[in-house]
Amino acid sequence: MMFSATLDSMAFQLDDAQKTTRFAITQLDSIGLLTWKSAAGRAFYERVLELSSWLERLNQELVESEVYLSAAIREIQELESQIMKQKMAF
Amino acid sequence: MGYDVNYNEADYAQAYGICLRVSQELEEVCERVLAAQRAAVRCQGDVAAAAIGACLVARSPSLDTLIWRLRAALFQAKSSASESRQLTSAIGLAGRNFESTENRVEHQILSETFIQKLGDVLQGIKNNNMRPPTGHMETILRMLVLLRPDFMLDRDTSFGDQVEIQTKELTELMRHFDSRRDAEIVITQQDPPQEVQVNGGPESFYELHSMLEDQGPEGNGKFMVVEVDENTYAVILPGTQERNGDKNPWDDWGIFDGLGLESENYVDAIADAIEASGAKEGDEIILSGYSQGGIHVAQLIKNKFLNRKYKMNKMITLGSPIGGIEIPDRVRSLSVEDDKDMVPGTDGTPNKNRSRNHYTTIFDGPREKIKPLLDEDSLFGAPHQLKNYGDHLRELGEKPKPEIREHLRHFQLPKTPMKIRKFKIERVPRRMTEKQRRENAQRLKNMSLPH
Repeated sequence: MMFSATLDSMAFQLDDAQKTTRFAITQLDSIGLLTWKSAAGRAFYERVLELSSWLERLNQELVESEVYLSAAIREIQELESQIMKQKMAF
Repeated sequence: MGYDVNYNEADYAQAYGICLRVSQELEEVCERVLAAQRAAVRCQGDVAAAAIGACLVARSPSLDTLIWRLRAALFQAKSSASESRQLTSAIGLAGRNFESTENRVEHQILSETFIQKLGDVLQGIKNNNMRPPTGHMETILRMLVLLRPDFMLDRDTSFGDQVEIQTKELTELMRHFDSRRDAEIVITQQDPPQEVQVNGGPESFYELHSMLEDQGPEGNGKFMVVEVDENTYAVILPGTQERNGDKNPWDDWGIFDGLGLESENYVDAIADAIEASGAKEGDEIILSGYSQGGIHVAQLIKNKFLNRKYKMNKMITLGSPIGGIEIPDRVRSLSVEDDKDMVPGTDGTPNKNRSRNHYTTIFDGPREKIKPLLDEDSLFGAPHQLKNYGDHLRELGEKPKPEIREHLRHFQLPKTPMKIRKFKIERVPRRMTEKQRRENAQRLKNMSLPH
């Protein structure tokens, strides 16, 4: 396959980005175990929760991107075989 | 400070650390997503070029959608990274603001109540057999710091830090005039191994320490390595001993070595003793120190050379002034103090106990039943005597508070016989030149911790 190296590298980058995002979410969750009694402390924790929800959405985006990557891999394999056939025909 | 601020210093510090790490991780996510998006664009271009070469027009619609989605993901990752940086900066600033406000308030209160505090201190000394209790010892040092013109203006720095700076300056000054600065510490004697049996609880550390205290001139300069099990060793460091012609590294000068040199000059001898006792790389080392020994313990537990070689995660100090020494969060520490003992107060500040792994238990003077066994006329008084700390360890083992019970479990020793080795160390004229010594010290400082 002509494009397998590029597609593999994309898959690796996406997988790594997903793992790092999930780890960041876990770490932000641990802030909830600390004590936030003051108004400022609670406001900080609310922003942490909001950031955590942003990261959940980012994670979802990355999961869906992987689905499109799988579809793109199939399409490119198809295109590659068409290109090969056409070249053979010449 | 006597007022509720709804603030937990350790939690703020921990949250700051988490936010900082998350910011770094999100920067990494941005890089990954950007790299994936660039690869997708390149791939689409390459596919189109290859198709043209075969007289075809080809494009992957899913790859187009992927590129579009990755652009959106990159935007989200960048926004999240920016928000995380803001949170890191906010929580860091909150911590620093709180600390400097607290420091200013402490300075202000002491300035305004100076005369009253002085009266309290004098009364406290009178009631404590003419020796200042821990808290009053700290107040005396704070008062001295307050009278220093440069410190008087710098109220953002804590009293503890100011006392530490003052002690280091004093140490440097004294080192300049003392011949002991040109000495190095080496092992000069190793006693034959012995077997000992302890009761296993916290009191066991007293039993081990008592084998080093009051042993007469023969015992001067000695410390001990205990083989707890095949992979665990305990290093027992004594309190201040007689000078023995300035040769004894545990003499009063040893305190300055601990506070001024961070005990760097003890590292080689102690590492040699640990190795001679059979410890292998990666073995666990528990450090335990009484009085001066505790200062060395707090410094050695973070020593880079020892940490590269061994797992240095547990320490015990008995009646030691270690409030000015930063103990790493990873270290599980137990500090026992007696609030009638002046020695733990000579750091000018209570122990920080920043991490949840750090515990300081403070006892309210010697118990009645131990008092007749203590010598009131000793240099620092009855509360500082090892026997008193032994009794406190016994009390800790008999009636541990629920919050410390789990912590104490990590300091249990086996009840089966353990092998001990005593080593005698002495100051001898330095074999290295001053330049070599500085280079060596620099090398040790630059040495990084293993990951």
